[in-house]
Amino acid sequence: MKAVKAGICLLAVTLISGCWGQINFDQLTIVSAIGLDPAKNNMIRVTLQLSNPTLPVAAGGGSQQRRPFVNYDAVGVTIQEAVERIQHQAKKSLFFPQTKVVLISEQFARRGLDDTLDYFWRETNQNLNSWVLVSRMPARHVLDKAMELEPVPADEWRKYLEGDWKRPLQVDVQMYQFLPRLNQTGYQAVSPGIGPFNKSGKSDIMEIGDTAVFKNDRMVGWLSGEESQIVNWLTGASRRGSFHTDLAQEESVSFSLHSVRAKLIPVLSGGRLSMKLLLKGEAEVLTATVPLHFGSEHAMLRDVLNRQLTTAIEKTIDKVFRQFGSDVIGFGETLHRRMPAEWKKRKPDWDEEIRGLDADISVSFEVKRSGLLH
Amino acid sequence: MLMWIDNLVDKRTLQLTTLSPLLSMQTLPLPSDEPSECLEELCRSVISAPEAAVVSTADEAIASLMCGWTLLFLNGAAGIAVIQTQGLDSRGIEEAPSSTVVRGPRDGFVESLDVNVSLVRRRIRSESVRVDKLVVGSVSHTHVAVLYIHDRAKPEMVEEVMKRIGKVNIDGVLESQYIEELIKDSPRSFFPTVYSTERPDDVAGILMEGRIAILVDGSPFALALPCTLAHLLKTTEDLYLAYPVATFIRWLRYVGFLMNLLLPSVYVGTLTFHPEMVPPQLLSSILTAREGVPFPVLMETLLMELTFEVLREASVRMPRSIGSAISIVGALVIGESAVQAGIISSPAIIVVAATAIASFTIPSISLSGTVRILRFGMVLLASMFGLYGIMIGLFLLGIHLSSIKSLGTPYLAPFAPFRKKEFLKMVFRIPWFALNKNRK
Repeated sequence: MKAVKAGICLLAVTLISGCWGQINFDQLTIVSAIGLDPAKNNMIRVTLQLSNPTLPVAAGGGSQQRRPFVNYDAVGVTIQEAVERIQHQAKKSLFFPQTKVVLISEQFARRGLDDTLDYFWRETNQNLNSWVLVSRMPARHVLDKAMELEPVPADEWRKYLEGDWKRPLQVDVQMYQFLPRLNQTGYQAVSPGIGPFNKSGKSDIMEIGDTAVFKNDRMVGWLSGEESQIVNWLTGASRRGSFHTDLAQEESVSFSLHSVRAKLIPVLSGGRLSMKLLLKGEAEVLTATVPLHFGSEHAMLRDVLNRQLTTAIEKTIDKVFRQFGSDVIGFGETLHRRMPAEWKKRKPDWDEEIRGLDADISVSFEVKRSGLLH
Repeated sequence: MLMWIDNLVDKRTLQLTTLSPLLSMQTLPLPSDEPSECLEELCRSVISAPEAAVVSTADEAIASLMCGWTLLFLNGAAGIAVIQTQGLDSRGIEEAPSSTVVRGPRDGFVESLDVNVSLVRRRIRSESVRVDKLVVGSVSHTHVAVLYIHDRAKPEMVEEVMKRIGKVNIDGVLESQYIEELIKDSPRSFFPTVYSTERPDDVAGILMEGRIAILVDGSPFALALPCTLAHLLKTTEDLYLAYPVATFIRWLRYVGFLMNLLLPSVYVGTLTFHPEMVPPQLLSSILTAREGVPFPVLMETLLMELTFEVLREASVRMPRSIGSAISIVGALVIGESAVQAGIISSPAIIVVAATAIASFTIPSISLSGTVRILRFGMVLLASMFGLYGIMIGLFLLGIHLSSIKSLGTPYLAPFAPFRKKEFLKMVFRIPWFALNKNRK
């Protein structure tokens, strides 16, 4: 009786779990990148970059003669359909959990993503940690033509994006951060862009830079590197940066900035909402085209830096809020946290609200060092 | 009339203690006219053997005769005099081959019970060490000694051990394993609930902890009770090394125990069910290494595990002089060539080799054997259910381990039930100076 009971328990444990699904390990091919392009009739062209595993160079894999990766593409109404078509071409079983990057072409992003990207929410066998990039040219071309030092370009891109040293001129976003922000009114999505640096020949050098700004699920425009840096400071993604100030005609001083801290404060006065922005940090002189006397000109340097930073931030906020009407710095979320009741009132018209939002910017950087030079 | 068995007595002792005193008596008058009294008087004052007595029945006399004693019959006497002239040859005391140490005493038990008891007594020179002797085996009449320190060992435990040994009903006892199997708790369990050791210093330590040791004549392996999992993962050498080193080594051993149990199953389970868990670079190199290998991951792992077990068994049975041939054939031919021929992938070899090395860190031979068997079960579970299967296996193992006891002590003590002081002692090797401070 005891044995029967134990047997029933064991059987239940093993059969009810739903933990089935042995993977045909020897037929596995790792999908290292997914490219999404628009196709005719509102269809999607999906490009998969399958990497061909090679032995590490240390283990004698350097001399292997095989293609490091192969790209397959297919058109379908949904991503799922296209992936199934690719499965017929590739034959091997596609392994998504280690996808490194998802490339969305600009055209496709401008068309709107909402009705297609739910695939990434629903499908269990994929990687929510993959990096999202918006490509200036069709994603398929980027994947075909990219030439990097690493045999598989997606590997190189992932390593660049996940590097510990956060590049201040660069936003980065992973799938799990990107997807929810597509539907989040108060904190909208951004994504780094990728495009050919020089269109010379068969293979191009790809440059990761600039920032694609989304309004809801639709891409609305690009931010330059300098503007991306300001967005990074305001969202707290980066604490470092560099800034060039123009001291006089054709004379400039470059600063390297550390410990940048931004604070967004919603201010209500007479039913009118405005944003107060405090930015603090430390600066260090990197280069100067004029001889500087750090002692006497210290205050002047600081004022110039703060003044010109304020202008730059004003411009960026103006571009993001007025031109794009997109809240990529997450001011809506700040309001949500600080004044939940107010947020509830304003949420439905938030897109309109931020277009007319006043920003009171105060920047206070301290110039701490002048490098090794006095 | 004198009677002895030629092969069992020490002739020199026989001559010195029995023959010459009796022969020199020839000219003197007998100590008494009454034969029975005369026999007793002879035993008491003439025969100079350390032990001599008069027994009344033939059975007792024959048992003594079989032990190498000499019988003295006197015409008309009611009893038979038995004289201790035992002379059994014994191997010299050598280093215990099953548990060698770098630092520490090098003597090991031998096959003679008397020598073994003396080795223990030499280490604890206290009158409170008790040696209770029993005879086990209806044919072999093997002597068994139960050792304990009477003011440290719990009396009910001693009683229980004596009772269990008393109940043993067997023809012969050739090795202490016979006794172990007959007296252990949960006899059906794969896990050893009786500790066995070949080292007298180990036994001395066990006695001082208040545990009970059993020595069996004819076997150099002493048994000890109670014995928990933690005891099986401890060695005496822990106490002979500096405390930080000893603690580190003990942790290594715990890790080795888990690796030995789980490494091949984690390898199989991860690759067949959860390849997404493997870091990309590693996955890529495993995939390349496995290219062209004809066997699935499970087959490959099982094949290599079996090969290793066969190799291990072969090297134990082989005469020492050709033992090195095994390592050449095993390591070079099978390992190297199998990978080069593409029959087995190198990750599988690495996993099996790492498991094998880990298995040597377990000090107890019996525990190591148990884990070797369970490892195969774990691999099968992992191949059917992945990491989930490994968890099922670990849970079942946990349930089993927490349900068995060794002489009243839970097998997982001091981890479960948790006993803080003992737990600390198990996890760390507490230095002696800290221990002494606590005692004040």
